[in-house]
Amino acid sequence: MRRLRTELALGFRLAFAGGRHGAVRIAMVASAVAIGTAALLLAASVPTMLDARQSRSEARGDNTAGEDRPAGRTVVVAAVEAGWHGDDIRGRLLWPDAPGAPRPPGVPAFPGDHQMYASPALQAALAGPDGGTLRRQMPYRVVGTIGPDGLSGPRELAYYAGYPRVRDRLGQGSWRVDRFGYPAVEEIGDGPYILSVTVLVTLLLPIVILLGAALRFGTDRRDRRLAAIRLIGADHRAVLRIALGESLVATGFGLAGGVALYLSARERAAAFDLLGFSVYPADVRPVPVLALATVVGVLALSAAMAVLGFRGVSIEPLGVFRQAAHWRGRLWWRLILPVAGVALLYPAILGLPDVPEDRTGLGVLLLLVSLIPILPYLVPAVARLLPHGPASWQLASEQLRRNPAGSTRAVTGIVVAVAGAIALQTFFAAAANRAVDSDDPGGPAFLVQFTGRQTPAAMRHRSALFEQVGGVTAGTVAQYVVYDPGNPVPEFVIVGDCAALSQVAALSRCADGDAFTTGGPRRSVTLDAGGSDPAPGARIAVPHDARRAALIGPYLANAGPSVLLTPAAATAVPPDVDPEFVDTGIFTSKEPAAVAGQLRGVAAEIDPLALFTSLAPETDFYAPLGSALTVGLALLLLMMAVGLLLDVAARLGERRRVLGVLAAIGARRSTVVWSVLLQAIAPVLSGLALASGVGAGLGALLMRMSAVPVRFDAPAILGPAAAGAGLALATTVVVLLPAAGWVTRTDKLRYE
Amino acid sequence: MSALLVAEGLHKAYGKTVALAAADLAVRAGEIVSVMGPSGSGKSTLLHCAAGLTRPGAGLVRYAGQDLAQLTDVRRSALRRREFGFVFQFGQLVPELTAVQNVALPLRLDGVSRRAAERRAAGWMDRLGLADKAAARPGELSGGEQQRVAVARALVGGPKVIFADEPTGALDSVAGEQVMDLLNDAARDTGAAVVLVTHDSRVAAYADRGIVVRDGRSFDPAGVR
Repeated sequence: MRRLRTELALGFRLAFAGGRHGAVRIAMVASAVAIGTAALLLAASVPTMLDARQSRSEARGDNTAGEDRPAGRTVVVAAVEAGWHGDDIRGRLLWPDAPGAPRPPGVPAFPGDHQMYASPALQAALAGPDGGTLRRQMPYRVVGTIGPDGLSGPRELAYYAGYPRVRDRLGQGSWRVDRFGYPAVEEIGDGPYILSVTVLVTLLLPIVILLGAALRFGTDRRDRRLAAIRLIGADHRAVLRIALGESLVATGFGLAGGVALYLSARERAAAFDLLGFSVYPADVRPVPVLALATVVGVLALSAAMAVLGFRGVSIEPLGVFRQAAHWRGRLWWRLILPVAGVALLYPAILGLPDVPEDRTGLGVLLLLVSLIPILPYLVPAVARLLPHGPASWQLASEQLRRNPAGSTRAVTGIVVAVAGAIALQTFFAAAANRAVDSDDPGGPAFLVQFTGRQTPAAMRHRSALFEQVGGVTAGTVAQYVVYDPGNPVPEFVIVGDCAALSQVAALSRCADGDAFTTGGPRRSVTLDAGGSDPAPGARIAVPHDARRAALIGPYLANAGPSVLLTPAAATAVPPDVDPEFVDTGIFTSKEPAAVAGQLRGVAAEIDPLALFTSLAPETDFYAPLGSALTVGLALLLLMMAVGLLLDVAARLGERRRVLGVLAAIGARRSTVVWSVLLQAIAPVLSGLALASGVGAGLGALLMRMSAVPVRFDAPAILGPAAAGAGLALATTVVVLLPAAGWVTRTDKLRYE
Repeated sequence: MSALLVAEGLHKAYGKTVALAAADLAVRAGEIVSVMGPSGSGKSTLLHCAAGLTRPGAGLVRYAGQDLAQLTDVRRSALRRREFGFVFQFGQLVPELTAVQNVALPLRLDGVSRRAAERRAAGWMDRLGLADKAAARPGELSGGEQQRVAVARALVGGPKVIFADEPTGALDSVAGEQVMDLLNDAARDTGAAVVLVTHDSRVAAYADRGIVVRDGRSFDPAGVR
């Protein structure tokens, strides 16, 4: 035990006594470990973040799932699902039935009439440059701020407004609650967990590669030092323990740095928002078991990498002996992972329904990871296929064929990252194109649904209000449900002027007084009485001269045979019967996102409980994901660049003697430099070709699974591939050119 | 007196190149034996085999009755720590450690506490005229000083045999003489045997007797067994 301590302590001592070179080595390893530790701790915090968000969301839950509550110490609530620049706004209009009624969490008192408590993010948006437009959606005076326990996250847009009229709309958009804290109807599924596991694994790979490269950096010096220690009596195990002690110093610093990095990221957590998901710093706490596993795992990984670093190296008293790599280019075991991946993905490739998400995730993961063993097989194969060239290529080719694993180890991380990025970017590009393509130019961009009866004149006025927004045309129709209990397909009587009716049906010509039927002639229809259960109501006659028409547009796509009446033909509809909805379809010649805010404001001014639906996307849903991916890829490639830099430097150190000998026997410096450069280029190009193929294939699969038409976007493939190639080449050149003189020195050969 | 270290019929080849062909060596306790011969004759290989640093292709090396080929790496390593000392042409010092830490290293590896190990190391450094260099790193020392540190390191564990391979090969004549004087005196004082590989007759003159190696074969005029 004492010897173990002594040897580990000697390793510690050597780590600190390495001078500038040793300090650089410690810094490199510590940086790699720090980045990895921070990333793993963040991933270990994901379940806690989700739990915290979920529990706060549940604490304010007001969805009674349709159950009626008698008035008492109760509150009447109405949901206003607003939106702003593509983000949802959670709005609640409420009014207490009695003093002492339960308040939602985070709200210190009930807001008075037309007063509101708003979230900090909503207050910031209201105070922003375009806040006036947003205010039209919530014309209430801010009297306070919703506390953190009333918000799902710090960036959430939310408000609670006092609005006495909600009591008049019970059953028509508002409901009564006797408490807050009803369980959420929608549970968070396994998706985020699978996602976090996938992120964890894909993060771990570059970290392992970076860590491996960092631990290999400077090992030639260390090995010579250890050989000197072997000479004076250290055995193999002692040498291993000394090396372990040395690597633990850097790992220790890295762990400390990683924790500091994590804490720093945690403090800044509240500033980030991805697809409406934001967290408070207090939510970012690693699950204790996962945190412990991270620390133990990083230490174990570091120890394992230190031990594995001695593979093929024999530290003997007389010096360091590197065993010539015996390359066995067997293909069969390299195909196990891709075959397993394809087997798991097969149902998804065929487009079969109900393919489990985790099965597909695992398949994608296996396919990406399979690039690691395939690349060392591909590179010597490519080297064999290429024609013989100058001496520099001959040298590079021989080295690639003899030791492809060594030549490709630092590139594999880049290849996997690029393949993943190509798959996702290809998918996002195709999805974005679909969003543009599928925007039905004949259909409305927005649909606003109101309740309550409306006269034809009021409906025309309502359309006119929306048309005050520039570049907008609108048509309002009232929909009455036809009573037909045996028919599962809803049928409607739709009343509106010709302009409005022509938005929902293809009409050859139309004038006030005209009537139309879809699905065949009929003499009369019975309207539903409008209660909670179907019941026959008024019976109205269909004008005998009603012409045939066909329904169009997305929101009546599932309607059965219906009757369309212009105002003069709708006199038979009793004025005391409420329509199911009064719908305003809104068309725009502008970008929907440009007018959405104003139109939402108009709708809210007409009726705060109006249901506003965007039929065309206000924002590109995938744009933030694509941006996040670009930032992630940049960070990943940066990490890879450091790893590659270290690896190239380490390889030059290892091959210094060989390169020195080449120089000694008369090889030009340019020949030596080119041989090293070509040795770096060949794996990069082979790997990126492989990554492009696999990435595009996975992208196509993602498109197929998401019902997106398969389409390949050249920049989505070439962008990541070019970034990877540029990075690898730039890194190699950056290391190689300054080192060219050093590696071709012959005066040190005698001392080797 | 019987030999402490005996090497008999050693053969060693590197590929097709024969380094040793039936070489013998015998060293009695406390004596200094020089091994001379032209470059490439196999004298360093003989020293490496005799010290257990290299495994011979054939032949036997016995130290204090133990067959070195039968010892595990752990046992051979322990032997190098406790019974053997080494001085090479280039000091083979650990550049990251100070001079006194280098000297104390064999003791530390043997489980001696740092304070005790460095105290003993400091004693040897004092004796070899290096007291003021204790805190210096190898890179800050002259070639002669580095070799004296290496001698101190070879002696600190109280070895029975010191293997010195061209210990003055990289030094000028004055520094070389100084190192040999110190090595000779220290070995005589402690009773350690020295196997001294050299091609310099002035260095060989320090030995009690010498053997010659030529084409991988040894010639021992004294015929010690």
